[in-house]
Amino acid sequence: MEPAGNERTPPRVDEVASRVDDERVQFDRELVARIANGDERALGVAYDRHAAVLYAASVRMLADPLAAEEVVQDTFLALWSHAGSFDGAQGSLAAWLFAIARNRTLDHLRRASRRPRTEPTTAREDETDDLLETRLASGMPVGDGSTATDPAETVSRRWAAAVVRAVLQTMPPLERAPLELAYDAGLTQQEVAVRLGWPVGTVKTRTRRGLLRLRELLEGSGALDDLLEVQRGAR
Amino acid sequence: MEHADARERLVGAAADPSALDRLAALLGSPATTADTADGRAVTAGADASAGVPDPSAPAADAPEAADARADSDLRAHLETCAACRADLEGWRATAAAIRGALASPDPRPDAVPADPAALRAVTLARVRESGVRTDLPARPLVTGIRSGWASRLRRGAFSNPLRLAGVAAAVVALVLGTAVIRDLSAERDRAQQTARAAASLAATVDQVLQEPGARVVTLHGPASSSASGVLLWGPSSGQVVVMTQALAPPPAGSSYDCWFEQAGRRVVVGRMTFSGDLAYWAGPLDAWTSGDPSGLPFGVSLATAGGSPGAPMLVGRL
Repeated sequence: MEPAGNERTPPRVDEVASRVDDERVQFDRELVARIANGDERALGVAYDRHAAVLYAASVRMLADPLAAEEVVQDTFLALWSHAGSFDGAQGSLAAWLFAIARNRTLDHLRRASRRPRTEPTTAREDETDDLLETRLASGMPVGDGSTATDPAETVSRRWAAAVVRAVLQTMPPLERAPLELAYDAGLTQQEVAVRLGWPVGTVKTRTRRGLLRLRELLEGSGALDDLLEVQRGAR
Repeated sequence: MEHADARERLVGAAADPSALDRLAALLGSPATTADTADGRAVTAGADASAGVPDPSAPAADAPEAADARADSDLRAHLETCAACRADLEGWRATAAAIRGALASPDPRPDAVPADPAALRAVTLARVRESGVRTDLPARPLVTGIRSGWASRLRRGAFSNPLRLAGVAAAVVALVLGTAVIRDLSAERDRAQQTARAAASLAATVDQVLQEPGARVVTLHGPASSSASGVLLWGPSSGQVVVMTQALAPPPAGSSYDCWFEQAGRRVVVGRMTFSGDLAYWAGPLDAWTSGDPSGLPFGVSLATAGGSPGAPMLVGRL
C-alpha cells in the first residue's frame, strides 16, 4: 500500500485508463459510421457497450422493467435509423444515446402518469422513493400541485439522479470510490487519500476522470441544461 | 490565467464539492442547495467548513500558498470570463446532481434486465425487422375475439374460482403458442420476452383470483363490434387486471387507456401493454376511487399522446 498524501507520478493503471477512455470515444465514432452503413454487427457491439447503463437509468426513472426494456429497444432502433445524423464533435455516442433514452423515458412517464385533475394526490413526506416510483409507473398521481416543487423540476432532478446512479453503477470501483467518499461522506481529497491508502495525486486523477464522465453524460443527454434551468429558476 | 488552466482548476474544485459553492459565493452567486431525486432538499455545503480549505485563507506552507495563489488567479479570471463562469455553474449543477443521487438510498442498486441476452436479441431482432415492416397492411383497431376463453367468461363458465385459476395458465399457453406457431428465429427471442411478461401477468391473475370475493367482469365492445375482454378485481387488494385479445396495437403516438367513471368524471388509471396478441393492464384501483367502487363504469379507450381518451373500445361495470 502506498503512503497517503504522497504526490508522485500516477501509476500506470491511470495512464492506461485515460488512454482507453480516449480510444473508447474514437472507437464509438467508428462504430456509428459502420452502423450508418448498415453494419448490424457494429450495432451489436454498440449495444454491448452502452445498453446496460441506459437500462439502469431508465428503470430507475420508470420503476417498470418492461418499460425500461422498451426504452432500450427504442433507443437502439433510433441509433440504427439515425446513425447518419450523429456528430462526434458534439459529444460522445454514450451522451447521444442518453439523450434519446431520456426522451423515450419521458414519453413513457408522460403516458403512464396521465392523471385526473381533481383526484386527491398528496405525496406524504414519509413516502419512500420506491413507493413514489411505483405510483408514477402505475399512472398514479404523486402530487396535487400544491407543493412548491414544479413537476418538470422534479422530473429533471429524478432523471439526473437516475443517470448519476446508473453511471456510478457501471463505473469501475477505482473511480467510484473516491467520488462517493467526496460527495457522500463529504471527505476532502486528502481525507479520501488517507481513507483509501492512495496518493493524493491518484485520488485526484481518478476523481477527475469520474467527474468528467458524469458531466459529459449529463451535459450530452440534456440533463445538465434542465438542472441549470432549475438552478436559474430558483434564484 | 488561461481558459484551459481555469477549467482544469474548476474540475479540481469539483472534486471537493463544497469548494465549488465557496468559490461561487466569493463571486457573488447565491449558494445552491442540492435536492434529492424526489425533491427533498439536502444540506449541500452545510459542512463546507469541515476540513475544506478556504481558497481565500492565507496558507501556512509552500504548497498551500501555491494553491491560494492559483485560487486567487482563478477568481480573478472568473470575474472577467463569462464562459468560465458558465463552466463553474455547470460543475455546480453536476455536483448537485451527484449529491442528490447519493443523498438517498438507491432504490435499485442492481438495475439489470431480467434476461440481458434476451433483451439484446429482441432489440437486434427489432432492428432487423425495421427494414421490412413498412409494407405491412394496417390492421383494424378492433377485431373479433380470437379465442374462446373471454366469451366463456362472458357466459359465466368460469364462475367457480377454482376454474378461474386456469385463466392464468391459459394466458401463458395462448401467448407462447402463438410464438411457437410462427417459429421464426427472429421471433424466438421476442417470444422469450413475451413469456416473461405473460408469466408475470399470470402470477398477478392468480393472486387476484385467490382473494375472497374476487370478481370477474366481462368488458364489451361497441354495439357494432364483437370485441370483448375481461376484468378481474380483487376487492381486498384493490388490484385490477384487464385483458383482451380484441385490440390491435395502437397507432404510433397513441395508447389504450384504462379508466373508470365516478361522480361524472372519467379517471384514467393506466395504459394497456401489448404482449403478442394479448393486451393487458394490471394495477391498483383502490387509491383512485372514493368509497366502494362496485358498479362503477370501467372502460378502455384509444387516446393520442397528451390527449383525452376517446370513445370506449371496451366497457363494463365493476
